[in-house]
Amino acid sequence: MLAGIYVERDSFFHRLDPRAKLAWALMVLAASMATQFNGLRGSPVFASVVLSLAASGLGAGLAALVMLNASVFLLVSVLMWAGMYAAEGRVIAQLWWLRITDVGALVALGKFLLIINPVLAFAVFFASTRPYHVSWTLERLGVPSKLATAFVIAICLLPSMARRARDVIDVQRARGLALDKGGLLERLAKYAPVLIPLMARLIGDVWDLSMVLAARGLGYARRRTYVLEPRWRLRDTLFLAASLAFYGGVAAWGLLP
Amino acid sequence: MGAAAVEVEGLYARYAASPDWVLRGVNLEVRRGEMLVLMGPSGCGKSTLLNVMAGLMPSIIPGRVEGRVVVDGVDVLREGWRGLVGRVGIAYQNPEVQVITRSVYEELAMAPENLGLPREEVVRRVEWALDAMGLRGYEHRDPQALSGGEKQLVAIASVLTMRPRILLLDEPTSMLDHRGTRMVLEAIASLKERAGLTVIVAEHRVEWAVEVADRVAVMCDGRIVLEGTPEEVFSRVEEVRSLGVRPPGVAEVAYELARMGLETRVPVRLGDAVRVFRGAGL
Repeated sequence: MLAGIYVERDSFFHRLDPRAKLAWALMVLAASMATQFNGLRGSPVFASVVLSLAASGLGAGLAALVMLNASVFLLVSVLMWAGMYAAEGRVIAQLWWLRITDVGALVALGKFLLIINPVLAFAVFFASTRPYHVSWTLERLGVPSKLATAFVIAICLLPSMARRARDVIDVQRARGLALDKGGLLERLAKYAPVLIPLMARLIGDVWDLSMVLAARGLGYARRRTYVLEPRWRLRDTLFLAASLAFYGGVAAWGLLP
Repeated sequence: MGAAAVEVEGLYARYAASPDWVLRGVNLEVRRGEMLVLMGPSGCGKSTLLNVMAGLMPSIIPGRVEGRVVVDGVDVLREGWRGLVGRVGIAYQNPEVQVITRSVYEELAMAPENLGLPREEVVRRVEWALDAMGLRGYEHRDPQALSGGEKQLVAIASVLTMRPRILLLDEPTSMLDHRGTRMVLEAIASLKERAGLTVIVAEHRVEWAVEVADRVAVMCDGRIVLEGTPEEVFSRVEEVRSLGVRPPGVAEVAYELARMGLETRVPVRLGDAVRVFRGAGL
């Protein structure tokens, strides 16, 4: 039921200790925050996460799909932030009423990377870390056992919800529901026969799942035992040191005037 | 068989949203090491009775429960779900929602890990459950990729790692194909023999029930209306039919022959039927 977004592979990222991967994802976040007003300085971070997508064995296809979807987000970011910084810097383009300045474009790129970099980094983390080890990592960080399990289950339920939604849409389409016809409001209204059975099925699933978890003693002990604990190795130390040097350098560059 | 593993007296139960009692004065005693098969039409209260005996209702499933329920010496209505952890295990009908993790080993380790047991003990229990349910070799397989029957075996094994003395199974084969059903029913029967568990199973497969059950209880409208050995229950063919339960095929044949004037007793198992029918000159 809880397949999650974990993808079984034998990649470099899969072999890393989850704590090293989590620290790396947090460093990506920190470096992206430090470079959010200058996208050019944040671009090495972006390049590193795209490289990480490939190194996590998720494939170039997925990376390309993510980049394609991200380009729409980049456009929105440019339109929004360029407008706010229209009075600062040199004008590099004029789109009807919108003046895009060099400062505005850098901020737009920086804000775009502030969102997309951590999203990709955490996608790499969750896709290359077994849910079991995500839970273990959270407990190691002091998160209570029940909360750690609940968090992992919530993350894992997302793909399951998407599958359920697809099933319900297919069934309703087979019954003649035309979701892709009509105006925006009409289309939205047509989603009611999808959302109601979907919610009912999800509530049923979550209810059944909670019974199963209770029957397996979830929350009985304050601290859960883990028999399959990862071991910290030299490669984790080296990876963490290299990440610290790289993202530390980028963050320092980003904070320079 | 020894003292009572489960004692239920005057049990009434209803869900928070249901206007009427789902269980209406259930009385039941199950001895240690016994296998009891609960039968009855859908909605007669079998699942509710199992959830009360597992301590899940009303501790986790909101509702009102009255009466006396003692399971493995624990007053369930007073101690709740926590009092029964490690004493009672329950598995449900849908194998899809009962496999949670990404490997069979993780799945089996989950319950003892949740109990906070030492690592060596968790490993010991997982190894035992793998053997008990015939899952050796499946350790590293993804449970999501298994067949329905295999998933149900994993679900039952995951409960067994809590080392319960009483195993409750709520229609474990109702969503399985023929092969999966056979796999699960054989495993349950062998469990009772090898592990000495008290097993209470809600199940519709009557031919299986008469072969393995020590006792059968038939429920109707929230009450246990017939109870006894398979022979005692299913030889009352007309009464069993009127309660919405199909008697074993051989019992139905013998009953019809008796109605036609043939002097024969009503067997409930195939092996008995062969002897009875030969004795009657058929």
